[in-house]
Amino acid sequence: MNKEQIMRLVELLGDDSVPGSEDKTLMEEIRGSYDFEAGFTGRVMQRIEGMQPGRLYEGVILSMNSLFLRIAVTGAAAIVLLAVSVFLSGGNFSFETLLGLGDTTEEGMISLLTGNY
Amino acid sequence: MTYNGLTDEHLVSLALNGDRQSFSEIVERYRKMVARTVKGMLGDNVYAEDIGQDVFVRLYHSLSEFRGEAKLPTYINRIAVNLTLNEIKRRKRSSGVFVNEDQGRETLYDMTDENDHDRRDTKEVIGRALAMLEPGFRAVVVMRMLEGYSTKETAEVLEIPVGTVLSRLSRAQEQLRTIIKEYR
Repeated sequence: MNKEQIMRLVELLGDDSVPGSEDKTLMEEIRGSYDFEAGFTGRVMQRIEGMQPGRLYEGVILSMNSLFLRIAVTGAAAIVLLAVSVFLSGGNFSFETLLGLGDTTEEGMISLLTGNY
Repeated sequence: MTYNGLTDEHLVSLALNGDRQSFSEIVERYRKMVARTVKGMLGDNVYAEDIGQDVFVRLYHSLSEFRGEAKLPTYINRIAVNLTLNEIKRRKRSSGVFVNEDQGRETLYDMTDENDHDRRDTKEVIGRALAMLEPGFRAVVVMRMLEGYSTKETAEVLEIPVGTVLSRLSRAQEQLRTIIKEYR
């Protein structure tokens, strides 16, 4: 295929009509030259079969689009930061500390709930 | 059971029922199509095979979502284009620039140093010319030139309006004319 023929392919880009036989041969010649290495189908099937339930995360991650993945990673990072901040301010990881009630006494809680200050 | 005479819909329903052989037939049937899209957009490099495999792995996991609203090849090509564009973006982010246009131009010129023009790999020349286009333009050209889709089908695969396809084609054509004209 020479330069003129490549140029012809470029010109055909804007032409939606059915190509003539010469153009069709030209297109088929270039289209037919693309393929993966031999054994591609086997490698794909091997990868799919290798995805045991424990390794299904690969498929799940592939199914997520990159935007969702980015949001999920950012969310996970925010949760870790929040947990570290709670631990540093409260000194432990109890349920009360997570709710911000770590230092509240029982009496204090009752008076807060009943309104008897 | 022979699978090559079965329709895409039949193969999909068999694959959904756990018939791996039918999925293997789908891979075999659309392997070259995916190669054209991925290699056309990404170049014929080591990453193309990985992306090609990812396309079919993703297809396998999303078969249950395939409602048949689009034809199977359109659906597969949509996955191929999206994964390839993601890879181009990822590589651009990690290395600053994935396909350096000047570098591509330089390599295109380097090829002219050979005396025997006929020996030059046309696919490589087209690949290098495509690499100089923006990814969005490249996708449109690959769908039209390498996949042989009509403007309408290209719009359907890329999920963009027909008008956008036409304007991108026209601009890509202009750029390709210049690039190839400079190639001696």
